[in-house]
Amino acid sequence: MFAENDRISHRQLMRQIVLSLAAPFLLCLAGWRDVKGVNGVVGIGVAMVLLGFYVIFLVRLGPAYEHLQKVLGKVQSVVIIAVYMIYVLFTAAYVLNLASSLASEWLLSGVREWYIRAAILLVCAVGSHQGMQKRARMAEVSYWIIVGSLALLILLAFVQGENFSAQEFWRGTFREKGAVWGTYEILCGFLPLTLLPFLLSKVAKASSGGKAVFRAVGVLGILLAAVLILLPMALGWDRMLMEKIPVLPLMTGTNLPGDILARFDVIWISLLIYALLYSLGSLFYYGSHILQSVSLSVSHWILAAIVFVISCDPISGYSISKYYGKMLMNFGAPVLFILTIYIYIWYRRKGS
Amino acid sequence: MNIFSNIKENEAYVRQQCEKCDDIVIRPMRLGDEKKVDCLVVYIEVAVSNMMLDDSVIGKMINHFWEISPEKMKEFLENNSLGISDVKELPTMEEAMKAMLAGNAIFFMDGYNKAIKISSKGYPNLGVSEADREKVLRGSKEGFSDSVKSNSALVRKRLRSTGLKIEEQFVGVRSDTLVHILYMEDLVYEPLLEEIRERLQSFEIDGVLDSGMLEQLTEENWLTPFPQFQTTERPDRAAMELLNGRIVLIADNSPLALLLPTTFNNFLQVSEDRYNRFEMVSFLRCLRFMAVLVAMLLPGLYLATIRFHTQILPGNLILSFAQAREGVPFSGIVELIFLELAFELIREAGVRMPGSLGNAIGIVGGLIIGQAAVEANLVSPIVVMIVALTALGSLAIPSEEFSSPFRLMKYGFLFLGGFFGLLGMILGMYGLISHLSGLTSFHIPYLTPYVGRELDQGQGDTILRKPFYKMRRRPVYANKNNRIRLRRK
Repeated sequence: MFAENDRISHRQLMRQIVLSLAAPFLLCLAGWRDVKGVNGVVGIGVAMVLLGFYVIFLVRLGPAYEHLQKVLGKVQSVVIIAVYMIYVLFTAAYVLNLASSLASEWLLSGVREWYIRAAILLVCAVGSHQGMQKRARMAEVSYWIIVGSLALLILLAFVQGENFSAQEFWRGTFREKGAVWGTYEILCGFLPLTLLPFLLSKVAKASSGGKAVFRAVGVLGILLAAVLILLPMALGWDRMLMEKIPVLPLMTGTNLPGDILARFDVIWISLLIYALLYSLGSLFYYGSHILQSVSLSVSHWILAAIVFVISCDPISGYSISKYYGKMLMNFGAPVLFILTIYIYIWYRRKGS
Repeated sequence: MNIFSNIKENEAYVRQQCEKCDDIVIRPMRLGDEKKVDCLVVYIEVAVSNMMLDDSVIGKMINHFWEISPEKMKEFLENNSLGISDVKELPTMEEAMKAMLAGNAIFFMDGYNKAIKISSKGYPNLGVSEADREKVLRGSKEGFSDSVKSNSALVRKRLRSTGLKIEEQFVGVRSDTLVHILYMEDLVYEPLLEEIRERLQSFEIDGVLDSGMLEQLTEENWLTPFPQFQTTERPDRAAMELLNGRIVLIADNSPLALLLPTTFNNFLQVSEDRYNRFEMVSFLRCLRFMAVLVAMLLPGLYLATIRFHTQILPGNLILSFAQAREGVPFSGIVELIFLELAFELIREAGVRMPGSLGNAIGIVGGLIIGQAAVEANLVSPIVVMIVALTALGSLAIPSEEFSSPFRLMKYGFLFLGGFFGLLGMILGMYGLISHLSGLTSFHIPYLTPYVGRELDQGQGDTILRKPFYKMRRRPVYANKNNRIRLRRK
C-alpha cells in the first residue's frame, strides 16, 4: 500500500543527503587544509559546477549499479563492492570517532571514550538495516530541526559578533593553487555522493532525481560558504588556523536573545551529534544495501563490530581521525572516481 | 444440523443444548383455533422479557395464531403475513441457537422445518450516556454504550447516507462477539478495508470481551508501546473520521470504537478542533505537542542539566537550585524516581477508587504527601515542581492510550539524562525518532503527514490548522479518487 513500494520521493532524497553531510562538513571540512577564506569559497563555487556534471553522470549510471553482476560479472562486482565497503566502513569509523570525541570533550567528560563509542554504535546500528523509507522519514522529521538550527547558528553568529573584521576574511589571499586544492578537498568531502547510483533503485522517478541532488549540494554549499566567510571574521584568521575544529568556538560565542540560557554551545553540539548519528546510521544502511546488490548478506551487527574495531586506534596513537583525510584524498577519491568510470565503460560495452 | 419438521425432535435438541442453562426459557405451547399445533418459543429470560413477549411482534403473532387454523399458520409463517420486518427464517439449528444467544426469541412450529427468529431489544445495557473520557466544551455530549447496534445507530444518526456501510463479523469461538466494521463506501481506501477484514479472520480465540483485545490481535507491531489504533467513545468523532476515509471498528460490549489507520498526529487532535476557530485550535495543538515533550523529557533534562551541564543555566538559577537541594540526602535521580513513582501510585489509586474518593486521594497525594516530603528533606521543592509539570504534560495529552508510552519512556529518558547527560537524551531521541519512523498503522507511516509532502497533500490539519473553509482535502488514507471534502458553490 502506501509504504510498501519502499521508494522515496525526491524531497526525501534531498533531505537525506543534506542531513547526512551537514554535520561532517561543518565540523571537518570548514577550515580544513585549503578549505578556508577566499580559496575555500572559490573552491565551493567550482566544486558545485563540477559536482553538477558528476551527479548527471552518476544518475545515468543508476541502472548499471542496479544490475552490477550482469554488467561486470560475479567476480568483478564482488571486488568492486569490496572497495565500496572499505570506503563505507572507514567513513563510518571516522564519523563514529568524531561523534564520540566531540561527546567526550563537550558533553560527557570523564567517561572513557570507548564506552561512548559503544553506546553511539548501539543506537545507530539498531534497526539500521530496515528500509529506505525509514531513513527517509527520519530525514523528513529531522531536516528542519538540524538545518534550521544551523541557519540560526550562522544568523546569531553574524548578528552577535562584536569584533567582526571583514579584513580578516581577505587575509587568506587568493592563490590559484590553493583554490584548486580547496576544490579537490571539497569534492573529497562530497565523495559519499558516489554511493548515489546504488540508491537510485529506491528513488521514485530516479532518472530525474539529479535535481534533488543538485538542491542538496546547493544547500550544503551555501551552509559551508556562510561558515567559511564567518569563521575568519568572527574568530580572526590566526585563531581559526589554530583551532582543531574552528566551528566549535564559533558556537560558544552565540547566545539566544534575552539571555534565556547562559551558554548555548552544548545545545549546538547536541544537534551536531544528532546529525552525526544520522550520518552513521545512513552509512550502516547503505553498507547493508550495497552488499545486497551483489546478493551478499552480512549482519548489520557484524558491520558495526568492524566499524568499532577500525575506530578504536588499533595502532596506538595512529587514530583514524589522523589518517582518514589523507586516505580519502590520496586513495579514496581517485579510486572511487576511476571505479565509476570503469563501470560506465563496461555498462556502455554491454549496450546499456 | 437442519431443523426437523417434528417439533419433539427440535425440543429434545434444544433441551439437550440448554441443559443447566436456567436463564434460558424453553416454552412449549399449543396454538391454532383448536389448540392442535405444538409450538416452541426459546429465549433468554432477561433479554426477552415477558412483557415484551405480550406486547411485541411475537406476542401479536402468538395471539393471532390462536385465531387461525393450523393450515393457515404454516402459510402465515411462509409468507410472513404480519409484514414484520425483523423476522427471519433460519434453516439450521446452529443458526437458531446463535440467534437465541444473541438475545432474540426463536419460534418453532410442528410440521415446519424452519425456525423463526424474532428480534428483541437484546441484552440489558447502560444505554446512551455522556462521554466522560473525551470531554469537550463544544459539541455533542453523547457517548457510545456497550451495545454495538446502538453504537452503530448513533453513527448512522449523524451520517444519514446509504454510503455508510456497516459490515458484521463475529469473533471469538466462545464469546461469538459481534463486531461492526463501519466505513463510507466511496471514501474508504479499498485495500485498507480488505486488510482489516483479513486481519479479523486471521486469528481464532476463545473470547473477545472488549475492543482492546481486538486491537492487540490485529496490530502490526506488538513490540512498540505506541498504540496503532485510536479509540473514541464519541459518535461525532467516529462520524468525522468516517468522513476522513477512515474505518471504524465497534465491538459488542465495548463503549470504545477503534479508528484506523492511526497516526501520531491523530492522537493530538480532539473532536472540537473542527468546531472551534483555527487560531485557538492551532495554539492548543502547539500546547499539546509541547505537553508530549514535557511529559517525556522534562525529568531527564533536569537531571542532565544539574548533573552534567550546569553551565547552560544562568548563575542565579543554579544557585537557587543548589539552595533548594540543601539537606536532601539523595541524589537527583533517586529523588525524581521516588516522587515520580509516588505520583504514579496516587494516579493509579485515584483511577481505581470511586468518584469522590478518587478526587480526595488526588488532593491528599498531591498536596499533603508532596509538602510532607519536602519538609522531611526527602525531596527538594524544585523536584516537586518538575514532577508536577511532567504530570500536567502527561494529563494534557488528549488520549490516555497515547500518553501511556510517554509516561513509560519518561523513565528511560530519566536514566539516560541522569547517567549520560545531554548525550543520553540525544541518543534516546535518535532511537525514538528512528522507531517512530519505522512504525506504520495499516501501512500508513505513523508520522504522517510530517514525513513527506505527498502525505500531507495540503490538507492543513497538522500542528497548525488551516481556516475551516480552506480545509478542502481529505487525508492521504482516504480513497484517492475522492479527496475533495469541501467545494465552494
